[in-house]
Amino acid sequence: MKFFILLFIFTISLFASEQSAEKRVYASILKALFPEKTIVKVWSDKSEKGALFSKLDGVRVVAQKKDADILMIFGPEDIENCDKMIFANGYLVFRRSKGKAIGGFYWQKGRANLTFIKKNLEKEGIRLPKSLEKYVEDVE
Amino acid sequence: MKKILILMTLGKTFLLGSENFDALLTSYEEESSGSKITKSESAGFVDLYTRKDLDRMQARTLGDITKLFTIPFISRTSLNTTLFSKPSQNGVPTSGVRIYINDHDITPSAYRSGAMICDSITLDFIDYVEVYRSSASIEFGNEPSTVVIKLYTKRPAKEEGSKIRLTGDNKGSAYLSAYSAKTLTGEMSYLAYANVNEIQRDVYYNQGAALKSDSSNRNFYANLNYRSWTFEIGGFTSRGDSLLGLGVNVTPETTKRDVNYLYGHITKKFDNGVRAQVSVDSIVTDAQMIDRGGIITAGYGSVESYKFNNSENVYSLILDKTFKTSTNSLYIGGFVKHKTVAVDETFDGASTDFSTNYTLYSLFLENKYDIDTTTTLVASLKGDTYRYETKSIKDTNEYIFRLGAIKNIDKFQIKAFYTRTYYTAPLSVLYSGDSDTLYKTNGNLNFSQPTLYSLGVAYRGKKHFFNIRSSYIVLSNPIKYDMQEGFVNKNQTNYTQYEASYTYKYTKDSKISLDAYYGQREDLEEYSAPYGGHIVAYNSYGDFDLFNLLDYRAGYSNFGVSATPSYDWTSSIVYHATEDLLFGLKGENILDKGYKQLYRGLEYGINVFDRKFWLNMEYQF
Repeated sequence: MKFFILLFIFTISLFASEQSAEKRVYASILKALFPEKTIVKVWSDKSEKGALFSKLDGVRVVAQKKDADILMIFGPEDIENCDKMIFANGYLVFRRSKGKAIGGFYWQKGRANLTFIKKNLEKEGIRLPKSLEKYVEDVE
Repeated sequence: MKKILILMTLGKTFLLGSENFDALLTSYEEESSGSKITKSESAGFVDLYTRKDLDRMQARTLGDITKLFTIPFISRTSLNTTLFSKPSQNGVPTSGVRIYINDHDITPSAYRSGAMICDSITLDFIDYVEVYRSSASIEFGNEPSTVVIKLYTKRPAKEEGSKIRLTGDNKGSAYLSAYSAKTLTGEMSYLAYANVNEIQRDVYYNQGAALKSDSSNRNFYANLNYRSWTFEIGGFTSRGDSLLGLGVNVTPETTKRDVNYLYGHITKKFDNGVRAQVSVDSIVTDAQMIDRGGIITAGYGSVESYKFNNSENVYSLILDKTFKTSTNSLYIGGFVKHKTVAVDETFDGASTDFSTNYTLYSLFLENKYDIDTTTTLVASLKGDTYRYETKSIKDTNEYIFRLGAIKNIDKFQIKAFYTRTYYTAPLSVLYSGDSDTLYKTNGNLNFSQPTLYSLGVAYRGKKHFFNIRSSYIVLSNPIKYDMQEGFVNKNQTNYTQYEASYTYKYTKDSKISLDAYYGQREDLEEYSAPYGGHIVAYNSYGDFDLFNLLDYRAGYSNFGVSATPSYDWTSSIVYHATEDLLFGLKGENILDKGYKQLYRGLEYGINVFDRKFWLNMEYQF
């Protein structure tokens, strides 16, 4: 009986994982950046994206930047004096924040792009899993 | 128990974490397609052509996509403009097909001056194309048609770059296009596009006269998006030869045609959900036809030379709003269109001119109600009033009414529509000034009114898709031309059409489709191919993309001439040298057995598509 209950939970759990590709992209990014954390605290400058992050397993959206492990930036947020890990979402944000951001997820030339910035990964002491190594670039 | 739960969590992480990230990004790209928002299942039978499809077929113009159409299929008129024709029929009335770039109708001509040239509409700045058939077109908030072709432009936020394309064919045609699309700030973005092309086509001969259809075309489009505002300008010029011309013996000396089309369109979305659109269109057409064999006219007998200049302006104001609840969507709106037309004609030495205008007022509403999660009912109503400046044309009130039901049963979808609509009669059949000119016009004509009974069943599995669609159409007051009486309304006719398609998607990037169609007139006459079908294959292997199309149309007879069955094989191969650079080779009508259009006065058919081979290069930066 216990086996069937577990099988049922496992199946439901897999179905629950049938989420949008966008959610799966972000889940993979956060898992790669914080492999040890059971709960990743995320702050976002865009409220509707905050709602998306709150639906990810192992992610908690926080209201204050100071409480976050990573800031998900979508707009013209001032990040100059920020000491938190930053991830850029959108081409203009990525271009503007290349000096600080750990990486970016953005559209360019009609394609979805994922880029991790090598020097900023090294600064944070992050080693990405093999599956994402091809997205690491020397961005100046 | 705890150990098992940990194993399960690890198993789940492994299953999801192991997915190929490139494939995930591709899924994200597909998921982000604008068609997820714009595609409207309730608007009719809808077919979608994605950017990926267009790239793999190396489509240059709308004409390349129309080759895949079933009902109506594509052909060309005796004056080398686009002819949409239903199986067995002569052609669909010109106002029966409308083409939009985003929300702008680029077929607004009141006079039908020959601006309907699909080969003049290039596609490099287009993201995807939706084709609606058996449509009442109400939810597009514009003038009526039963076929709606919607071209959606690339979105700057997804492009963030530029592209240049150069292609040429073995007959000396050349085609160059470039676009740039970027976001300037978070609130401002733009798309700018330009194209020049010189198209060389096969020349035919009749009694020593050359039948030419070369053309020289220029296209441009630009939009600027700022907060809730969108500003668009676009247009094209097309200069070329008009194939047969107007001569009764088809012995043309000159068939020059010059079309200049320009439009501007402003859209504002207000915070309360109201959308306002203001637009202006200008269409100028010049044509010169010389045929020593004589051009038969209604007002001037037989002439050798005919010159035509038509200048049109269309001014539009459209307001609409959608009210949505969890189960109901009510779309309401209205528009005013003012159309002005000025025509100059010269028949040998005699000149005549006239100008006129009319205003079209329209109010519409459409309600979609979800009875439950699987069933949607649609009801639409639109009232149109045409007020003509000249008293020679009777004012007309028309309406469109539609009822529809969409039922989803697991992977099956059933659609049923009842549509009563109408075709606007162009001014060229209603009015020619104080006297008859080329044709004998008739200001007392009633608009033609098709009533469509449509039923479709679709199955959408993971790998297998099929569609069966059927329509029974009753056309009241069809407008025909009679040499004695001029344009007149004829008796009601009936028409039945069937089509079926099957698609097998055997890998993520490869699919094969088969379709077949058949159309039958009430009198069983066949003025064009009565049936036909396609085999279409899209394949990707590493850095190569392949596209193959076999377009079959049955033989038919018209004007005492027979056309044999046609087999048009189009094949395209694309090599992606780098992520940003590609080279392509494309063959069109490779077997030189493509569809031939038959014309009055000509003893043989003329290819709709020439046998051609294109080399293509595209670079993104």
